[in-house]
Amino acid sequence: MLPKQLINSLTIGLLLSMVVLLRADEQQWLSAELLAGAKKEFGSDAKQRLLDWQELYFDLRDEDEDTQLRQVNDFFNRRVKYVSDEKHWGQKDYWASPYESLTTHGADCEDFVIAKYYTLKELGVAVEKLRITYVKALRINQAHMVLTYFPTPDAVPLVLDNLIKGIYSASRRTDLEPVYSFNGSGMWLERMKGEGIRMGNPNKLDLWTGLRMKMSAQGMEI
Amino acid sequence: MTLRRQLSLMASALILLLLTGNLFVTVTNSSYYFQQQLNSRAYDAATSLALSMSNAVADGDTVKLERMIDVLFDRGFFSEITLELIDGSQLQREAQQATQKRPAPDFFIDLVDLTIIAAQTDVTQGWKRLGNLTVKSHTDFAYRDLWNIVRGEINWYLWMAFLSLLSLQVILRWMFKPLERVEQQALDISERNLYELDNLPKARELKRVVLAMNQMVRKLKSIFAEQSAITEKLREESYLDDVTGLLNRRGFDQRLQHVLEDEDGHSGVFFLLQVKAFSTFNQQQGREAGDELLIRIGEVLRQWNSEHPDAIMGRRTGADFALYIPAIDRLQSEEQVNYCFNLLSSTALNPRSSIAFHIGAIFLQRALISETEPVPVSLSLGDVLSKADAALRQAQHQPQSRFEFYMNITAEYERTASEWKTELKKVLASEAIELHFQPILNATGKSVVHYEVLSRIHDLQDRNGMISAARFWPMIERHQLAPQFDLLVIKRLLQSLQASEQLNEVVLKDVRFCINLSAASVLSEQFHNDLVELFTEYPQWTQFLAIEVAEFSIVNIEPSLVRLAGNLKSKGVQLGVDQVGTGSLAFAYLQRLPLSYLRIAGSFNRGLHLSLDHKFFIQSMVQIAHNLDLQVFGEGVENENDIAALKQTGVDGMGGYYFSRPIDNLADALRWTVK
Repeated sequence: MLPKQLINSLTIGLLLSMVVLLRADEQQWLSAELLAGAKKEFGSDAKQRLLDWQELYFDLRDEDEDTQLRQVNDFFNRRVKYVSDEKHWGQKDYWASPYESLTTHGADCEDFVIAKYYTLKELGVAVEKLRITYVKALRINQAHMVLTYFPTPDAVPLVLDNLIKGIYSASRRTDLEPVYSFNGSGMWLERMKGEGIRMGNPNKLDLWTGLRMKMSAQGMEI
Repeated sequence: MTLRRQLSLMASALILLLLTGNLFVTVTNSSYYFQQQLNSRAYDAATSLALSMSNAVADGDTVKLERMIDVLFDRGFFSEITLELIDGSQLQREAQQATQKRPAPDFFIDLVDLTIIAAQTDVTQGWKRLGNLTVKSHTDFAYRDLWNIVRGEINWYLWMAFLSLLSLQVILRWMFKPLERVEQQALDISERNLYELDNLPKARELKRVVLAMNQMVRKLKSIFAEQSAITEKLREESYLDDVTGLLNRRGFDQRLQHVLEDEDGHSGVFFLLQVKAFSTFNQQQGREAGDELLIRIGEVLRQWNSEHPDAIMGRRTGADFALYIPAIDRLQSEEQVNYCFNLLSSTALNPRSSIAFHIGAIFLQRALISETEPVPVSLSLGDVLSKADAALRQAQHQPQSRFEFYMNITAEYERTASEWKTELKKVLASEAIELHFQPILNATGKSVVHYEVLSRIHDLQDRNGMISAARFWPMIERHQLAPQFDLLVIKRLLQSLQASEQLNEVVLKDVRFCINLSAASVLSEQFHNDLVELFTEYPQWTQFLAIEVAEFSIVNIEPSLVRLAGNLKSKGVQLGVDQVGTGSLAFAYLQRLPLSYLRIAGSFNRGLHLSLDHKFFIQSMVQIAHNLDLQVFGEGVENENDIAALKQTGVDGMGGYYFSRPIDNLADALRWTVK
């Protein structure tokens, strides 16, 4: 009697764990270590925000680009609080990775752009259509950064901004003046990054390359 | 390959290795650095240009865009600047070369790879994209600088290599100098020239070698000294009188007997000298005074010996002395006795000392034994002694000092001294000498190693007669003709060798013809020059010659002999010593002279099988000589028992009448083999 029960319970347990394992395997986007590390260092709220981000990723995987843009823009604008670098990191300009922004629950304009850029890239949006744009926010007379999306190369882009919740065409954003935009993963930068790593001495002022190396260490290729 | 060359090669290889390693590191690092610089400059330029274009250009103003590209391009650092507009059209500047000359050799450019990445940025106009800007750096400057670095480094290394190899050569030469000296020292040791090096090298290993060599030299010297000392002592104890240092009775009798039995004949005067009433003198004055008197007499006699090195003198018993002096005839022998008598009575035994002495003398002569004539009866030692004694008794009939000659009748015609002189000069002028050859066999007794060359002159009074050197030699010396005569002998020998050229060169191989030189010849500077001249006339035959001198004469002629030996050596002529055992000088001369062989005096070999101490003496001589790499031969062997005994002493060969009489012509001598 006893052995039979034992075998049954063992079989059920095995099956259940297999199901759990399979599900876990399917749901894996952020690594278990990353999540565990976030919980250990920043508490379970931080871990929850990461899990929500992962859920967003899984939900949007098969959606069209419009939905992906809207949902990603919305997720970060709503879920992450705006904190200036001076206040949050104690330095004038700090480009944080999405992991840092989500776990520390604070980001400034560059960090929003980075988080959105990375999430969209991961969702399959061609990086050719994305540009990181330095702008001047006219109304508050402040340096600012937005992510722009070009449906076609010669089109007027859409602007993903953390100052305004929704996505609007650039032509309607008269409150912003574009200064310069760059393509985050140009051929040239790919190779410079490689060399920077090999040299073991990335240019401290090249914030973008620094960010890419940091994220690479966290298991995210931007 | 010499050690010096090996070290030089190793140093060169090391320098080459350093050079290539250093070059590799330099080129790799520098090229990487240049590549980084070129690429970031391109990126910076692209960013600034794009920024300028984005903000300063009105819509569609391609002329202004073009000028902006020109401004950057004309700086000369970039190989390509392209602006690809969004509609697909291109604004482009390109340059093949940035410098006027080739920046570096082609192989270098092929070898060093600079990866140039084109920097790309967007050019925008407001929110819209205007196009894509590509900027590529030029590599020429980098190649030029890189090539300069490499060239500088190669230059520096070549100088370094040159200087270090040069200094290495100098240092090694300096360091190996002691080694060369040690090498020379070792060679000199094998030539029996023993000396120590006192200049110790600084390098510890070399210093040890030099010290070890020095120690070896000291050891060899002491071994030699010990051995010589033993043998010298042996010689002294057996044959010398311990009071006067002259021969003792045994030594004298042995030497005299050898003279008397010499088949080459002999001619000389023998006399006994007795101090009158010496035992009374001893009793009255004491034994010490007696010994002192004996020593004084010995000194006087020895002083005389310097003029007559081949004289034999000994103390028989008490105050009885015996002398044998080579003399050519009765006249000369009377002169000699007279001279000796006067010498003694004016010095040690002068009338004032009131010691009288008497001399009994006998002239001894025996002609050369030839095969054609019957052997003349020779006097035995006992006869000689008793006849001299009889003369002595006759002299003692009167108490005062005097001498008396034993009257014997000789049938020989007696020439006067001046007659001799004329005759000998005639001989020298007409070169009327004959050479005889006495073979000396090697240790196995199978083949001839030496021919001892003996000279004879024709007896001008008797057509068939021959006079041996033993007889005429005292006259030669008296008239100072010895150098001329020696030279004539050598000349005749060389002539006959040349005449026998066709005879048999194989037979001649490894054979030496030994010529005995007189002391007077060795001392004569003229003789040295004449000899060298003679040798240059017959260059191919000198290698078959050996020059020898009698041991007893060495003491007076050593410096000249060393010089003569130097001349001989360059011609391949060996130097030997004969009559070893008859001199009284220390054996150290064996080491000082560049000798090749020794010949033990016949007086030691005769009756060897009966005499243990003779055998022991020869054995020690052989040992000393072999340690010095000298050969030792025995001469005058006449009896089978002596041959066996002599063989046991370890000699390298022997000769004597037992094997062969002197052979009267060269052809027969060369054909002669052991029966």
